[in-house]
Amino acid sequence: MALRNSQILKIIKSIVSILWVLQWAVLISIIIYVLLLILNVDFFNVDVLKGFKIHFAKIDFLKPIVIDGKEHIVKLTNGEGRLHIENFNQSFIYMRILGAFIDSFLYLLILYLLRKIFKNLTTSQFFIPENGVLLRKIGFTIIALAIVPAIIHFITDAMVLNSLQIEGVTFKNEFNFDLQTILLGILVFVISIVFLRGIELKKDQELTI
Amino acid sequence: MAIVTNLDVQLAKNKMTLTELSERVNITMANLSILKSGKARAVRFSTLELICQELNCTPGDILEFVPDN
Repeated sequence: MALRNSQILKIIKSIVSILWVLQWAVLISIIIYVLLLILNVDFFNVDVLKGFKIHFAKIDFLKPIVIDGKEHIVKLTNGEGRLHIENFNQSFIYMRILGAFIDSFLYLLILYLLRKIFKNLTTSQFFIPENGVLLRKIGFTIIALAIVPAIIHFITDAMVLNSLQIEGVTFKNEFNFDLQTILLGILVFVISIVFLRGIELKKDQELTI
Repeated sequence: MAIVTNLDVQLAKNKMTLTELSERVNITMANLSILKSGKARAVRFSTLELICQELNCTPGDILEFVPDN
C-alpha cells in the first residue's frame, strides 16, 4: 500500500510539473500578445485577436431574414460572443489582458506552492508546519482566483458597455464569480488549519514524557 | 513556562545521575533530558509514579508552579 501511494505521488508530481510549464507558456503568450498589440506588427493579423467577450440580453436583426423563401423577424437572446468593431478604440483591451494576466499568475502561484509541498513530500517531510502554511496560502490564492479576475471583467465591461450604443443590441453586464471555486478555497483553508493544529498535537504528544 | 521541574535537585539529593535514573525507571535518556530541561509539555502519571518511587519523593518535589510574572 505504501509503495502504491508513492507511485501515485510521483504521477501527480509529474502532472503538476507539466501544468507548471504549460502555465508559464500561457503567461509568456499573454506578454507576447500585449507586445504585438502595442507594436501593431504588420506580419501578424492582430485584428483577429482584438475584440472583447460580451454578454447580450437581445440582438434584433434590423431587417427581416429570409428563411425557406419567407421573411421572418429574427432576434437572438441571452447569449455571449466576441464583439469586433473595426477602428474602435481598443485601449480597454489592456484592462482585459490585465485580468487574464492576473488569472494566469494566480494559477502559476498555486502550482508553485504545490511544487513546494511535493518537494517536501519527496524528502519524507509530511507533517511539518511549512506544508500547513503552504496549504493555507493555496486556499487564499484559490479564493483570489475566483474573485479578482471576475471583478476586473465586471469593471471593464461596465466601462465599455455603458458608453457603447449599437442599434438593435441590448448588452447585459453580469458579475459572474465562481462560487464553487470560492468554496474549494475555503475548504483548503480549513484543511490547512486542521493540519497545523494536528502538528501542534503531534508535538505535544512527542514532548509528553 | 509556569511549571518548572526540579529533577536535578532530587537527583542530587539521591546522589543519582540521569543515566542511572533512566536505567531504573526504563525511560530513555532523551525523554528524561526533555523533562529535566523543562521542554516537556506533559508528563504521564505512570512516568511520575516511577520517578517518585526511585527518588523517594512526591510529585510536588519534582514539579513546581512559578507564575509567569
